Formats: sequence, structure tokens, C-alpha cells
Amino acid sequence: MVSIEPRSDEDLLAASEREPEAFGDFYRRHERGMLLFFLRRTSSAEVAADLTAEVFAAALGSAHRFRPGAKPAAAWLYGIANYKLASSYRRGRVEERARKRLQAEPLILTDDALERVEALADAERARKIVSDLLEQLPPDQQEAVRAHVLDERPYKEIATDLEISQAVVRQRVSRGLRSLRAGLGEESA
Amino acid sequence: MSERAVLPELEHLLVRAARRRAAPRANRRRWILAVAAAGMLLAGGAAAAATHVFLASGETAGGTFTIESKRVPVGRAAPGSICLQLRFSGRGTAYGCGSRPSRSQPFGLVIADPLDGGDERVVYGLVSEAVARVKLRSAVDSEIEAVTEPNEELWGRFFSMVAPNDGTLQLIGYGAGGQILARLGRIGSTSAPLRSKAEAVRRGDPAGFAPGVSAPQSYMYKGELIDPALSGRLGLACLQERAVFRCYDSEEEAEAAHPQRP
Repeated sequence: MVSIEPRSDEDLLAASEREPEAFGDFYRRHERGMLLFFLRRTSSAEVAADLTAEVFAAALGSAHRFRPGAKPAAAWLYGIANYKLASSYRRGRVEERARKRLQAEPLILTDDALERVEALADAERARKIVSDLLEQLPPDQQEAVRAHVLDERPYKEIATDLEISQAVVRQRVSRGLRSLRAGLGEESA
Repeated sequence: MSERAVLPELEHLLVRAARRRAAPRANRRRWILAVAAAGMLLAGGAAAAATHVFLASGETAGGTFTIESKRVPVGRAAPGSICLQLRFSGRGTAYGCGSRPSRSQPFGLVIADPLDGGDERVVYGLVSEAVARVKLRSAVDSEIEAVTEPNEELWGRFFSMVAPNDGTLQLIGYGAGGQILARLGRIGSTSAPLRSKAEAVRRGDPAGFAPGVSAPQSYMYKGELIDPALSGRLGLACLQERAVFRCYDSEEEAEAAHPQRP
């Protein structure tokens, strides 16, 4: 069997000059993180999308200047993000410089696109709540819920791993989920 | 990696822009240094009428360029100066004149040409014979190195490199053994470029002397500031002075305003 290692961020950036789709891969790998980075700081789906577009345009425009080894590509990308965010605060608007330099067509943000960004923010909030609640569960229930619900592993496999019966695993998952539901009820109340 | 993007429309725009960038770069020549000729950044010009010797050529994202030596213009540079010019596709030619490098002043003429105001500039110039390579550091956290090339018709060695057109920069000259011989310019300084050794010492950089390491970003045409892109669209001939590019309607007009030494 041949296993193909995913290309590193550094490889994707280096390849993007001659292989444009490589930049698409780099974009998809960091898009959610970047949108969430801006959503947390601006609380606006529109501004977050606009800043994300500007950051990736700047990254594309200077990908050929990125030097692997100095720092990870993700750190380099978030360095650009911090700069663009600070610059936007200073100017009171999102910069367009990088996109203009690329002569990139403007990003038209439809209601549908904005809803997807907002859904990402909602999912992130829900994930954070669930994660916080999970942390509050007893360790055995936490482990069982993570394994069965989040990692989608069958009861039998979990039972073998933990050297307990499937019935005990089911019981722990059931109790854990009940506590989570109760916690979520309190959160939304 | 196969996960669908939240904003696939943005992904498409970026990949399309990447394709446009990739197309002209397919057969990119990075740097062909064929050194021949090359001193204070004073003026640039659209004219290539003078005797000149090809030094180097290369490409940026915005176009191709060549660097040549140039005759010293009358009245625009001190006797003994040396001039270099850069010809950039779509913009024409800009030149600078300055001092020759020496043992006490390893960096001679250094020019940072902002081209058409895009995201890259070409930094080139002359260093003394002892300087084997030059490292450029810029405010945007990048480092670029160039090996210097000797030339029998020039004083010293020639170097050139494409650098980010963003903020101040610093050049460091290294000897063949890797020792630092000179520094030029300072990163993060918002003040004007250094104009003399004495000024460099006052600013705490005893090795530095930067007559022209920061290129002007403003373009003047008929007494008014204009968008750099306009000079390209109108095909203006622009002369690089210390603080501004001064543009004229034609090379003849530019040459008449800045006559050259025979």
C-alpha cells in the first residue's frame, strides 16, 4: 500500500508560483482558522471574510518571498493577519492593497456566503461550549463520550481498549450525554 | 485537504489570480548577472542616450528590467561620480549617481528602485573589492542575499537583488571569510536616509553610509503629485531625485531638463 503524505504548508507555498492549485490547497487548509481568527476579533462575518481575502491575497503576492526554515508558514500567515488587522483598526476599514496588486476580482459576499461564515462562528461557539462541558465530566465518562460520540468508535472497540464490558461503556456514554444535555440546557437558558 | 472551503468563491478568485501570476513566470530567469559597469542617488531618467554597459537583467512580478552603467549627467553629480540606470518594462529608465566604493566606505552607490510602486523593488549598487556578498534585511522580516560580481570596467563589485517594496531596509556587506565589513541603512528607522558618514555615526551606526538606500515613493508631474501607475499609463519619462520622481512628457524633455556630461 502506498501512503501519500500530505504536502507541508511550506511545500504548498513554494509550489504555488508554478502550480496555482497548490495555493488553493494552502487556502483550504487555513481558511477556517483564519475566518475564526477574525470572527473572534471583529464579531462580524463580513469583515472577517474581507480580512481573510486580503490576508490570502497578500500571502499569494509574497509567497515567492517566503523562506522556509525561518518560521513555520502558518506563523508567517498569521503574522500577515495580525498586520492586516492592526492596519484595518488604524484606518477604520479593511485594506484592499494586496487584492489590488494581484488584480484579483472583488469578492462578492452573498447572503449565502455570509451565512456560511456565521454558521462557522456558531459551530465554533457550540464546539467551545461542548468542549468546556466535556471537561467538567468525570474522566471515565469524558473518555467514553469522546471515543464513541466525537471519534465515532464502536462500543466493542472501546470496551476492548479499556478492558471493560460493552455494557459499562454504554452506561458511561449514556451518563455523560445526560450530563451534557443538562449542561447545554443551562447554557441556553 | 479535500474538505470544502467555507468560501469557495474566494478560493476560486485566489487560484485564478495565482494562475495569472504563474503564466508569465513559467520561464522566469531569476538573475543573470553579467557585470560590466557602475556612485549618491541623485537622478533617474528616461533616456538611454548615453554610452552604457549592460550589467544585469531580471524579472519582478510587474515586468522585466535591465541594469546598465550610464554617463554622468552634467551638473547633477560631483566629479568622479558614477551612474547606474535601471530600465523597467512599461516605465522606462531611472538612474542614480553617486560615489565609488572604497576600503573606508565599502558601500558606494546603492539604489533602491521602487519600479512602478508595486510590491517589489530592485536594490542594486557597487561595493568595494573586499565585499564578497551582500545581505538585505527589510522591515517585513525577510532576508535576501546576493553574491557580488567583479568587473574590470567598474570600481569595485556589482550586486543586485529583488526585494519587498515595504518599509526601510538594511544592507550588510560580508567579506569572503564571512566577516561583516559594512552596514548600510537601518531597519525600522522612520527618519530620512543617511546622507553622510558623520550622520551615520550620529545615528549610532558607525559603519553605515547610505546616500540613497531609500528610494522615493512620490511621483511629480507638472508640479503635482501623481499616482505612480499614471506615469506608466502615460509613458512619462521620470527622473529619480532624492525625495521624488520628477516626470516629463518625453525623454527629450527629461534630457533637456537634466543635460548629461559628454
